[in-house]
Amino acid sequence: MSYYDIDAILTDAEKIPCTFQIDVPDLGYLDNQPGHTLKAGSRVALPIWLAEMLAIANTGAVDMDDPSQSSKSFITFDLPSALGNDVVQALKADPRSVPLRDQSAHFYALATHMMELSEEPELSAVLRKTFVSRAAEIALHARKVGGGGSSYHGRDGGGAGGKGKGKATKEDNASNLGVGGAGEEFLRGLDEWERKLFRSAHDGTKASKEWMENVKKR
Amino acid sequence: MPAIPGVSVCQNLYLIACRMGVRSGNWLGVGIWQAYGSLLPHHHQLSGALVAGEDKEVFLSIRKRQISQLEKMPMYGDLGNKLVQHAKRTQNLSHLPPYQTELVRAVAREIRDLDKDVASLLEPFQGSFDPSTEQATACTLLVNHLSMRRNKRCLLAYHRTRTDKLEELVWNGADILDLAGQTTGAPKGGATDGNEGSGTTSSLSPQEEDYFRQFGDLLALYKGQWTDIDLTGSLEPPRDLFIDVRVLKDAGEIQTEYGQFYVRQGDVERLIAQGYLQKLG
Repeated sequence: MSYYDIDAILTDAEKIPCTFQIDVPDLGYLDNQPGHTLKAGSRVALPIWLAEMLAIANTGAVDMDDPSQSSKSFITFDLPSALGNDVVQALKADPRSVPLRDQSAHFYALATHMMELSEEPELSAVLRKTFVSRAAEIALHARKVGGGGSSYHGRDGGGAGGKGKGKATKEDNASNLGVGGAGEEFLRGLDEWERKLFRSAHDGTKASKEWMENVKKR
Repeated sequence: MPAIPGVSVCQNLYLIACRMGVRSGNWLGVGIWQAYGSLLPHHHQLSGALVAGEDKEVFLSIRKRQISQLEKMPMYGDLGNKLVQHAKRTQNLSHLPPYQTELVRAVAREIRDLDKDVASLLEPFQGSFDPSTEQATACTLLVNHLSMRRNKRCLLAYHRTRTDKLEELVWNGADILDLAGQTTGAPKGGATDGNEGSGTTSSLSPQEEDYFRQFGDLLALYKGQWTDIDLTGSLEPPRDLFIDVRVLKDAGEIQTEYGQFYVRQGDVERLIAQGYLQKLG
């Protein structure tokens, strides 16, 4: 994850539910009440880039009476609803029927980030299974689109050019191949990472097909 | 309650205000509430009860909820995020969309404002700030600092995405006139129409134009080290040494060794890349 990675930056903008542990007079605007004190115990949705450091940072307060309490952080945070119990249960039931994109456009990135911040062994296992079974499905769709597409490659003349292909091909998929609504539905629910996977799988299939046809011509 | 016309009228108004305010969330509701408020002492006197006070509380709570729903407080970093979304879109485009001068300026301004806030927060401490005793201030400072850092990252990422794109365009032999659009003026109209459409302004910032030019020079210098290899040439091996071309844009009088329309591919490759010629067949 690079400093300049656009997707990483967008992932960091995802909000997670946080609870403030201390009163802060100047931060009322975080809870839609500028000019008011943000009370300890207020629940506020903060972007990860803010929440992460606030949760890690040590207030440095030393409580003589109770040393165990002496270094609490400014906030505590919970898992966002995208990784909540409902979603996890649904993923356990059938990973392929959950539109991850509706939960978060950067679903996996968000999940990995959250798991760096707190231990979630169950979530990790569920997500790994989710990705594996969905990846197989993605590969299948990408191949179908590429394979059936040769007849109309000529038509769009490769003019779509470069990276913009993803969306166009998805529509082609729906109209030409009779994969039907379900397939289209599934592809719409891919998160950003899965989209990349789909795109490379699709471009790879297409490129090798073109190469094979060229070989035959000569 | 005795039948006093004024009261029933303003109560109706009040009901309307509540309904409109809650349903459509527009400020007309509030305007009517204010009208109701000016009648309030009158109402209070007449009914002789605290009903009005209770009404007011109910109304205020509704209004508060309305405000929090309607006006999501803009947060520090929101503008930076917009910039990054622009960058994200840029990544998937083959051309370079216009430079977001306003947005970049707004983000920079936000950083300056935050910096001022930090300075004024720290001022009373005269350099002897102790975070462990002033936790609330420490927290505010941290939030301000993180917001500045976030904005910086957004700005850098946005510009980096664009310079990456510019470098790619230089390598592909794009012409600065095509990108700069208007900067060279209307006479070159033919060259700009294709890319710019409405383009009355350049899609590059002045700094980006500089960058583009200097990177071009650098690339030329680099390529100059190998006179017998064209580093930016096509990777496709040519089928024929000679090709037919069609002229798309007026490029002045150009005479190659062999002619004007049936030419050696190597001689005109650069002109094709720049869009002056089209290869036929």
